[in-house]
Amino acid sequence: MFGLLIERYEGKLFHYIKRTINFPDQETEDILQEVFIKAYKNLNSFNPDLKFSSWIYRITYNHTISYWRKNKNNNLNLSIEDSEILLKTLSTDEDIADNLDTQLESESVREAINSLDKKYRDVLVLKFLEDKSYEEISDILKKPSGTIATLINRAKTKLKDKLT
Amino acid sequence: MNKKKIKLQVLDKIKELNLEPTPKWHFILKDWVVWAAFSISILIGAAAFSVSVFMLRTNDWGIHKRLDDTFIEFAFETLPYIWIVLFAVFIYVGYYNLRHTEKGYKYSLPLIVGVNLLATIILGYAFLGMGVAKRIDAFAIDRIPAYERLSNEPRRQIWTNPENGLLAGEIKKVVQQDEIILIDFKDNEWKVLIKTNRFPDDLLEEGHTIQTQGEKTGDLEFSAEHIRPWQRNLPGKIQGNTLEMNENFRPKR
Repeated sequence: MFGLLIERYEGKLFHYIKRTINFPDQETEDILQEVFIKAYKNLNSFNPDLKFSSWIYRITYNHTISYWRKNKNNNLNLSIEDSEILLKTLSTDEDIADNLDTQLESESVREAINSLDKKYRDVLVLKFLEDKSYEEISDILKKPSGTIATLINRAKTKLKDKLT
Repeated sequence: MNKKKIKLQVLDKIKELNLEPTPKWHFILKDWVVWAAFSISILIGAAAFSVSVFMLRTNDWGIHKRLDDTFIEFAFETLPYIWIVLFAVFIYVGYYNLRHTEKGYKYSLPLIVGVNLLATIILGYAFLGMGVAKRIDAFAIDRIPAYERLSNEPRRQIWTNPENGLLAGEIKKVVQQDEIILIDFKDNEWKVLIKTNRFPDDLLEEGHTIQTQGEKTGDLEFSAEHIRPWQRNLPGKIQGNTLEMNENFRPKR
């Protein structure tokens, strides 16, 4: 049964960890294994009011951040591919579509995204790369939905300012 | 990423370390502990709030004019800082606990702080009404020397001001109905003439500590126009600068 859960989430969570801290693949796999072990041990803490994916993403985020804090020698930068996906997704967002030039160089997009505060990158990754709703992001990051909405708006404004 | 490898490694590790999911009661207990800590912080915060209000209500607000202080200066000198700080600390502790309940993260900071403040203040007023604040203050003065010092030292200084008409101390001797010998907080011995009859009838007894307002009439001589007990929580409910009568209080004839 737990094997099925691993199969279902390992790909998504592997990418989510990479998008959160961008460590090398081998290290990311190690983190992912620890996440599943932690999830197994804490299975009884799962609250059915929550989506299972939000619960396991929350464990992943917390474990990833605590791992990153202990090993800060690696950077937090988003990969070029993810930066491009993020830009593409943001370009379809009506709030900033008019202001973004989709022909921008990948490297400058990446630089702009990576220069954002971590709190803004965390919400952008969940909203535009992981395709989570405000409610799900609120459950994952354990912040009120209103705060999530504010962070996303500010993140978009900051990104727009950096790219225009 | 090798999907098969990760799944096998995780399952092998679970088997190898003989891991089991933590029992549900463990998480339920953890949540209860957080709620209990929140309740305790509300109780302590409410107690601190009630004592703060009690001390503010019983502060000698009317005497600032005698000290040539502005009202603001006097307020800063006499605010019950210990209780105000304790109240603020436990509002924060309450916020922290509520935020760490299972669903606490869903609520905004103003909402959590607002609910916490409201609960603390309502309970604090209930404590005040039940006389809990008075008892806490008396207990702390009696049992905690440091509290007694912090709480009473500024008052002792204010009330050792005979030139400004303020004198307090312990009654050494009741000479006659309108004359006492009083030892002030600097160990000076004063002859005090009583020019009022509005005070509790058991107040003028040897060993009692009192505060008087009046006028210095000579070297170590004082004429008292107002007298009341030194302790805030002894007979009579003091408000502003007036001693109100209660069932324990009968004016002297």
